[in-house]
Order: sequence, then C-alpha cells, then structure tokens
Amino acid sequence: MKFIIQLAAVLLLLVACTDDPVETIYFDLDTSKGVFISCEGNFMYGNGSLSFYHTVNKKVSNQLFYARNNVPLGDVVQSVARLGNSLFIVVNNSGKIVVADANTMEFKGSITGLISPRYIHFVSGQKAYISDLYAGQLTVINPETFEITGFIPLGNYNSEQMVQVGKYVYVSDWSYGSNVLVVDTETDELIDNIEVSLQPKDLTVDKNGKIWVLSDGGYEGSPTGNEVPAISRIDPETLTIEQIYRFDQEDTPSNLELNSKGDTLYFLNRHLYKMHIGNRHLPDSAFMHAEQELFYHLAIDPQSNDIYIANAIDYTQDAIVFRFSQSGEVIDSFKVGINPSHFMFR
Amino acid sequence: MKVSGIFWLLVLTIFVFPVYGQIIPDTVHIEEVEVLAKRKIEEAGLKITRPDSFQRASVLTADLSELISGYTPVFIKSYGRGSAATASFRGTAATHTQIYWNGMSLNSPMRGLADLSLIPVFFTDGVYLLHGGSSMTKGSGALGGSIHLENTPDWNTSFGLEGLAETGSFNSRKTFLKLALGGKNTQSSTRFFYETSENNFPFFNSGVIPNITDTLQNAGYNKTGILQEFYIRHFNENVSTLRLWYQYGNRDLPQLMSYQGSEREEYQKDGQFRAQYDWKRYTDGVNYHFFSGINTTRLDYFRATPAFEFVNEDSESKETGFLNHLRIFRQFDEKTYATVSFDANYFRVKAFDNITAGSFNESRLETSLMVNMHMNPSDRLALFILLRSETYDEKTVPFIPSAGFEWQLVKRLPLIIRANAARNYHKPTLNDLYWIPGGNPELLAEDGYTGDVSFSADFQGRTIGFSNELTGFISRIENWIAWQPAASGAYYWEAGNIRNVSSKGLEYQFTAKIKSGSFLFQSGGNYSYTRTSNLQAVHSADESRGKQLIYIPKHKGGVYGSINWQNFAFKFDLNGVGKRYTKSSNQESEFEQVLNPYFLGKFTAEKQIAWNEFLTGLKLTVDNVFDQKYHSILWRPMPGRFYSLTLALKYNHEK
Repeated sequence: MKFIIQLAAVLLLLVACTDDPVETIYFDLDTSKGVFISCEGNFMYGNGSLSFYHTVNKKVSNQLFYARNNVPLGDVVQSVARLGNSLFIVVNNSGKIVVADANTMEFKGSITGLISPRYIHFVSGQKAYISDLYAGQLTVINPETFEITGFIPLGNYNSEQMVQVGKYVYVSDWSYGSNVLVVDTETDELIDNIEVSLQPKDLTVDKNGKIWVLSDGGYEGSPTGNEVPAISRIDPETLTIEQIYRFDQEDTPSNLELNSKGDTLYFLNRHLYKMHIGNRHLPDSAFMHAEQELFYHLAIDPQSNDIYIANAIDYTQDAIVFRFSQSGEVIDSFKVGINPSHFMFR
Repeated sequence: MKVSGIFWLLVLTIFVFPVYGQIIPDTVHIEEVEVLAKRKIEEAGLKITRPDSFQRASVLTADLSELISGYTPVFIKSYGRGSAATASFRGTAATHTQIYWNGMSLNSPMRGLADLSLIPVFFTDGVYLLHGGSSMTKGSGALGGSIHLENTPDWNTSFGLEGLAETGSFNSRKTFLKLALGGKNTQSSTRFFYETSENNFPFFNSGVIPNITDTLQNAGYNKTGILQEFYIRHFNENVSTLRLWYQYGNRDLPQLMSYQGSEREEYQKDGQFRAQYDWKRYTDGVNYHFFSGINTTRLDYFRATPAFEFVNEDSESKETGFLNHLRIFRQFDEKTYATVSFDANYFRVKAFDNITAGSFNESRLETSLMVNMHMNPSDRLALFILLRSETYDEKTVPFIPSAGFEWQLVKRLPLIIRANAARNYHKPTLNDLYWIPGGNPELLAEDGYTGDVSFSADFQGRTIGFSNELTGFISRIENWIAWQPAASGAYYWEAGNIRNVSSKGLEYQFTAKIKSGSFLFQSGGNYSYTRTSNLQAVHSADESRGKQLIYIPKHKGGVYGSINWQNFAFKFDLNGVGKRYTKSSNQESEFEQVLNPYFLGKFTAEKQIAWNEFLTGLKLTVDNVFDQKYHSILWRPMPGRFYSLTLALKYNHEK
C-alpha cells in the first residue's frame, strides 16, 4: 500500500526520484609524487572534501574520503598534514581531525572533542600540536593512538599556523591578536611571545632559519583596530623583529610561501608577488597578474618550484587550480572541491 | 510627457474628480452554476493565493511556514522543526519575500527577511499571498512576492472563548487561547500561545564513522506570545484599531550531523514587540486607511563550549522600525477608481558583540509614494496602471511602473485571464550596506522585471464547487546581492551585486468540494515548476551559467483530500519537494551532495461535538506517515514519523 501511494505521488508530481546507494570506491593511489588539497566546502554545508593531484601523470582524484568511506569529511576542511602513511585532515567546524590512509583513504580514526581546530603540527612521531581558533590553548595529541594527551594553555591568545625552529614551535595568534607565541616542545609550555603587526596569520621559515610572518592588519571598524598589513622577519635566536615590510592600507596580502631553496617568498595581494628574502622593500610590481579571476589560494611545490594558484570561481562550485612554471607558463589546470584551503606536497 | 509628469497628474486627479458609489461586479450567473468573481476592483489583474478557512483550520496550531508550504506553490526553506523557515517565491531569495502584518512590514531591516517559524497561524484571521509584480500594490522589494497577515474583528460576537491544547512526540506541547468580547461598536480580542518541545528525535546519522542511530541534541525550543486587539466603530463610517503583539522565542541550535567536536551550547533568543494604531474610514466614494506602528526585534545569539569554559560568540542586535502608512481609495465614476498611498518608515538598528566589543549602529529613513489607477471599462474587463517611487538613504528610486488586466473571456463562462507586468526593486539591507567587516555602502538596489499570465475558473454550485488557476511567470533580477569572499583578497566576506538571475515557471492550484448526503468531500492541491538560473557567470571556468540556483527545487507540490461525515473528519495531505542542488554548477554524482526529492504524508482524524454554543473536538495527527528519511538542508536531520493529539474547545455567543 505504501509503495502504491508513493508511486502515485511520483506520477502525480512528475518528479523523478532515485536514491541509489552509494558505491564504495577502493583507491590505491600512487601518492609518491603529488599534492593533497583540502577543500573547505561552504560553511555550515558540511561539504568539505579532499583531492589529490599527481604531478607526474597530471591526474586528479576528488572526493577521496567520501568515495572510500561513504561518509563526508564534514564542515570546513581547513588543512591536511601527513605523518608516515597517515593523513591528518583537520575539519574545522566539525570539531575533529579525521585520520585516513594516504594511499587507500581508508578511515583509520579520528581525534574528536575539539572546538575549532585549524592546523596540526607534528613535533615527533608521538606528539603533535593542534591549533584552535577559539580554544585559547593548543591541544596535544599522540598521532599514533589519536588520543589527546594534554593541553598547552595560551592565556588570552588563540592559535593559527605553526612552524618549528629547533625545539621551539612558533604559533601565530591570528584572530584579533598581534603576537607570535613561542612554545617549548620539551616542556609543552608557552614560554614567550613576540609582538608583531596586527593579526599575524601565515608563518614560514627561510633557509637561514628566520621566521617570516604575514599579518593581515585586521579590518576597518575592527574593535581591535586596523593597521596596515605587514610582513615581519623574526630572528628566533633573539626573538626580535629584524625587519618589517609594510603594505599600503588598501592592500590585502595573504598566503605567504617559500620556494624550495628557502630564499624567495611568494604571496598573494590580489595578484601574485615574488620577493627575494634579501630584498629591503616589497616588490613594486606583480609577478603574475590576476585578470577576472580571484586568486583564492597559493602553493609552491617544494621540489619543482611550480606555482599552484586556486581560483574559487563563485565559491559554490568546484574550484579550478592552475599550475604554472617558474616562468609563468601554464603547465596544467584541474578541478578540485569547493574552496581549496591547503596544499600538502609529497 | 515625462513619466514623472504623468505620475503627478495621476496624483492630482484623485483629489479633483467627482465621487460616485463604488460598484464592483462580483458575481456572474450561469444556468446551473453560480460563477463567482469575488475580486475587488483593487485586486483585478493581481495574482493572489488565499488559503481558505478549511486549509487554515488544518494547521491552526502550526506556524506560518506550514500553511504556506502545504497549501501554496511557494517553497519554504526550513532548517528543521521549530527552526528558522523562510519563503522563496518563484526561485528568489528569502530577502525577496516581504511579510506584512495588517499592512506593516515585518522584515528585518538588518537581514532583510522574516522568520516564518515565529509566526503562529493562530494569530491570524486571514492570510494571502501576492505573487511577483502583484506585490507592488502593497510595497516594494518583494521581487518574489509578499505574504499578508490579516486580523479582523467579528462584530457579531459578544463573548467567545477558544482553547487548543496539543501534545505530541519529542515532548512537544502547545497551548492556544483566544478570548473575544464585544458589543455592537467595540470588540476586544486577546490571543495567547505557548509552545515547547525538546525536539530530541532519533535519526540515522550517516555523517560520522561508524554510522549510528543518533538522537538530535540541543534542538529544543519554546515560544510564547500574546496578541491584543481593540476595535472601535465610531462616527458611523470609522473603525479604529489598536493592536499589540509581543512574542518571545528561545531556540537551541543543533549542530550538523558531522559534528564531533566538544559539546556546544548554542542558542538564539528572539523577542518582538509590535504595536499598531489603524484607522479606516469608509464613505460612498472614498475610503481612507491610515496606520502608524512600531516594530521592535531583539535577537541574542550565543555559542559556548562549556568543557573549555570558552564563549565563542555572544552577540545581540536590536532593531526598531517606525512605520506609517496612508492610503486613499477613490471612485470617480462607475468605471474609474484610483488608489494613492504614502509610506514613511524609519529604522534604527544596533548590533553589539560582547566578545570583541565590536558594534554596528545605523539608521535609515524610507518614503514611498504610489498611485494606482483602476479601470473597469466593461463588466468583463478591468485594468490597472501603477507607479511607485521611493527614497532611502538620500537616494531616490525613479518611478517604477506596473500594469495589469483581468478579462472574463466569455460572458457566460467562468473563465478568466489575468496578467500583469511590473518592474520592482529591492533595497540593500542595512547589513549589506554597513556590516563590519564586509558591508558595502556602494551597493546598488536589486532591479527586477517580472510578468505573469493566469487562467482561472471558479464554479460554485449547491453541492459541488471547483476552482483552479494556472499561472505562467517570467522574471529577471539584476544586481542580485550576495555575500562572498572579498574581491580584494581580504579574508572576510563582503556584499556585492553579484548576479543576474532569470526565473520562469508555472504555478497551478485547485480546490474542489462535493457534498453528497451527509458526506462532504474536499480536495485541493498546488504545484509549481520553477526554473531559475544565474546568467552572469564570472568567466569561462564558471559552470554555473544557466544552471538552477542552489536550494531552489524545480518541482514542488502538494495535494490533499478529506472526507467529513457526521462530525467525523479524515484528511490526508501529501507534499513533495523536488531535487535541490547545493553546488551552483549543478554537479551530480554520488558525492556531490544533491538533496534528493522527498514526499511527506500527513494523516489527520478528527471528531467534533457541538452542543448549543459549545464546540469541542479531538484530533489525531500523524506527520511523515511513510517515515521518510530526508534532508531539507544539507546534513541537517529531519524527524521520521511523529504524532500529535489536539483537544479543542470553543464557545461562541453571538448578539
């Protein structure tokens, strides 16, 4: 009876309705040469995803995790990191990190109970730090067992990106903050902080072991003020700022990256810019111009120095990624998930 | 002559021409069947949907979203039981639907929309919808259409008491009371409601590994409100009305199915107070209508993670609107009528973030002038021409025209064709303009062009009745406002005039009634086909050009049938919503997360007992009879089959 009524309804409303079960796809990816790309999806849509692009055969595979496990990653896939053969996929607004096999994408476990995780940094094979937009602390986990082993209180600071020089992990205090925090990996304690320009976000370490910090400067009307964006170079030995490169007020720089030698910086400021670490001034002209498209994300292949720029198109469809050579020629382009947020090369 | 010249000439003529009695032909007789064309002259040419009293009574204990979803072609986007619900006419956005309560706009000046889940059907005496350009007769901004809530007195009642008590699944309780008192020239109506639900329904969670049978957490809500109306009939032709409406809602906000973070405490509290003084004067040739009102809304949003003793967000917003309206309807002769209206509204909004101490404080003065000429050149033909102009934020919107007609095709057949075409516009909301960060003071108003043609037939006999209407529509909206990551590359989002959207489709509605002996059979249905797409693709890689907008179903419909016999009533409703895309490129594969079509059945059985002036009834309702698993919004669970039992008591003493 139920079937007849439903069938009648279908005919009446002239709507085709199929709800076939999803077929599991078993991967055996060659991930020896390529890049994993985490794609945020749309906030509160739960449609974040993971893609892999093979840099040699130029093949891209999308929706890897969903296809293998019949379950989506979750809401806002922020970043991805690898330890051995395990991928740690940070799902920001689902409050968790999902762990999957880097070749088969099979689900291996998850770290749950987080607030708003952003990035994971491996201190060793048994210890990793998780930054969090809201927690006011770093979460310490054992990446072998996926267990939370402790917390590092950060006081009124929050945490975003992390880099390590020696035994110290440097953490950007992005949202409404203006410090780079110094965490001792032996004691798991916050030991110092370096005040930089407002809202430090991106961190990278050059060939000389210097830390480069990109601060976006906040926004007009922000309760914590609004400064010009800036790139700062920090000496981790003295914990002092060696040089500040200030942008104009209307500039909106983002995505600070280094080449394979660690001597040239790349960043987006509507267009793509390139700057040697020895330069005393910001470059006057762009290395690559954006036309109609918006450069949403930038990554540099640490081996080939190929440049990857993601264009999110309208932010509600699959993005397109362009791969350029150092001479600015297009090598390839390919589609990935919605709003690529992080590239992790192998 | 310039358009502005014509406009002012029309304004002038309404005060100069002589006055005659208002004659509005409303009945056409044919041999067997009485054909009713019940329209007032002001409604000729307009596309109107008016749920009837039977349909309203079916959802008397529900909110407005259920009435509109079930009995009109308009699509309701709902975040779940008790959660926010907004209306989308003809493929437009929620901000393109205007909600009016006795003529007074309820849309938020900050967000531009109104949450239909906060409006109980019990607090209305009538509801009607104006589709597309027809809404221009009541105001601007409704690029999709407008929803009108009416309260009217029953002058015959000297004492009336009505109570409804409902209990249902998921620890849900509802109570409704109405007290009416009055005499020949005064009436008082007091309505109260209280609703609460833990809303902790079970669902299959396919968003986590392993998949589990889960229970919805942190989704409870309670809402309460009181509506007081006073009506006074004085100096023969004058009616003065004072209405006061206070309402409060406290809703917990559940997480997406994939959420596995630390337990969140997240809620939204809405408080509204509305007051309106309304005056109407009816004379032989001129009708006046004036109201002045205030609409205040306070919304508190809170999100915390108790395990970490961390408050993520704690914000509040206050909105106050002062709304004033004067409308004059005048009849010049038996064939010529006109309406002139003037509105002056002032809005003040304030938002404050208790965490960052960020704030946002803005105000806006809006005025609107409308002239609408109605002509009735023959018994079978009526026409209107409308011009509207507005000012806001020191900007002037030039005269926007609209025109339509209604024609009975054949004198002795109840077939009517009506059509209208209009230009419309929608002002940016205060958030769009000034929100920090991302508000864009340079935004243009959204510009709309729309037209529709309807064919209707309405037969009413002694034992049978049948009415139906088929409408085709087409519209285009330019400078559609949307929020997206800043074009400058900044990390925050900003508002922009992003899209040009085309929309076309069909709407069909019918009601039927057959009386046979002691049996009464009633049926009705609606269907809409909506094809709506973005024409302004960004560049060659953009696959959204010409594709269906996300979350807008192409197909939406519903049908019901009921049978009444000796105070017993049985009714079955079936409503369906077609596939909805969540990617602008309309990609479809197993993993592209298209929302599948769903059909929801609803069964009700009711027994009423009448004794003198007392009426009592008991109703059992089974929602989602087929226990469908479906999503209205990506990764937000919806309940399976659930039940409610309603006890109704009514006493009415007439003079």
